[in-house]
Amino acid sequence: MYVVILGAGRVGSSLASWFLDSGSEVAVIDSDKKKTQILDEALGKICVLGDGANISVMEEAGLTRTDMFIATTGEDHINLIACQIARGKFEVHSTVSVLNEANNGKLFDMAGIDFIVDMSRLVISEIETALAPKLVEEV
Amino acid sequence: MAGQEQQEPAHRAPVYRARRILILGCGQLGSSLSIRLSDSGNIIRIMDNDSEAFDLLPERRIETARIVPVLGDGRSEGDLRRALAGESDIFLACTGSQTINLMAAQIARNIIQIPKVICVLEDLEVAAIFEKLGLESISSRKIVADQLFERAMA
Repeated sequence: MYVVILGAGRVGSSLASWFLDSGSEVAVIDSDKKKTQILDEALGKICVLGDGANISVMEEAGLTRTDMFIATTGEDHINLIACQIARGKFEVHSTVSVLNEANNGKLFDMAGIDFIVDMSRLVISEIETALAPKLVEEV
Repeated sequence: MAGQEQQEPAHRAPVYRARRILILGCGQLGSSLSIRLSDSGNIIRIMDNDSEAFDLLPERRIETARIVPVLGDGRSEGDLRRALAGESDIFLACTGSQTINLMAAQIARNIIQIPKVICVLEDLEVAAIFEKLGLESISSRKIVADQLFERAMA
C-alpha cells in the first residue's frame, strides 16, 4: 500500500514508522525543514518539504498513485483543505484526518473525509476508561 | 404586474439596497475593500484575529459604525456567527491564507448558509476544485495573468 501522510510531527512520524513496519510505502509532507530532516534521518528519505495543501507538493509526494492520504497537522484548516484536494484533484481512495477542534466535525463530515479522528474525544475516552475502575471503587 | 408602470423621473438613480457584508481579513485587500463597499452604502463588518490590523481602517468610519471591526477567528463557526450578528447577505474571505479563506468560506456557505460567499485564492487549480464543490472564488494570480496578457498583446 502507498500512503501519504501530511505532517511530520508526533502523530505523523509515529504513523509513518508504523506503516513502514507493516510493509507499506510511505511519503510524508511537512513545511518544517527541521522536522523533515529529523524524520528522514530516522526512517530514510521519505519526506517532501512543502505546504500540505499545495498541488505541486502533493504531486511530488506521489498523490497520483496513493491509496490513502492521512492529514495529521495541528491545524484543521490545512487538514481539511488538503483532504479536499486529495479527493477532488487526485481522487485518492481513502482520506483520513485528525480533528483538532471538535466543533469542526460537521465541516469535516460534509467534506466527505472517510475517517475522522476526533483528538479531544479520543483523549477523553482514554482517560474515562482509565478512571472508570477508580470511580467505581469510590462508590 | 400587468398594467402597472412605474414612472421614474429621468434624473432619479435606481434604488440601491444596502447589503450587509462581512469581510474576513483586515489586511491591505480587506481594509481597502471595506472602504469601497462602505462608500457604496453597504453595511460592513470586518473580522481579523489581530486587533492591530484594524489600524488600517479610517477612524471616522469606525466611529460612525459604517465599518464595524470585529475581533475573531474565521476558522471558528462561533466567531463567524457572532460577527455576522444575525443576517448577512455577503461573506468575503480575504485573508492572506488560502486554506483559512477556504475553510471560512465553507463554514459561511455550507453551515451558516450565507447567500453569497466569495473566496480569494492564489491557486487556479485549487479554485477549479472548489468551484466543482460549488464555492465561488477569485484567483488573484489569474486576474494578474489575464491583465498582463491583454495589455502585452494590445
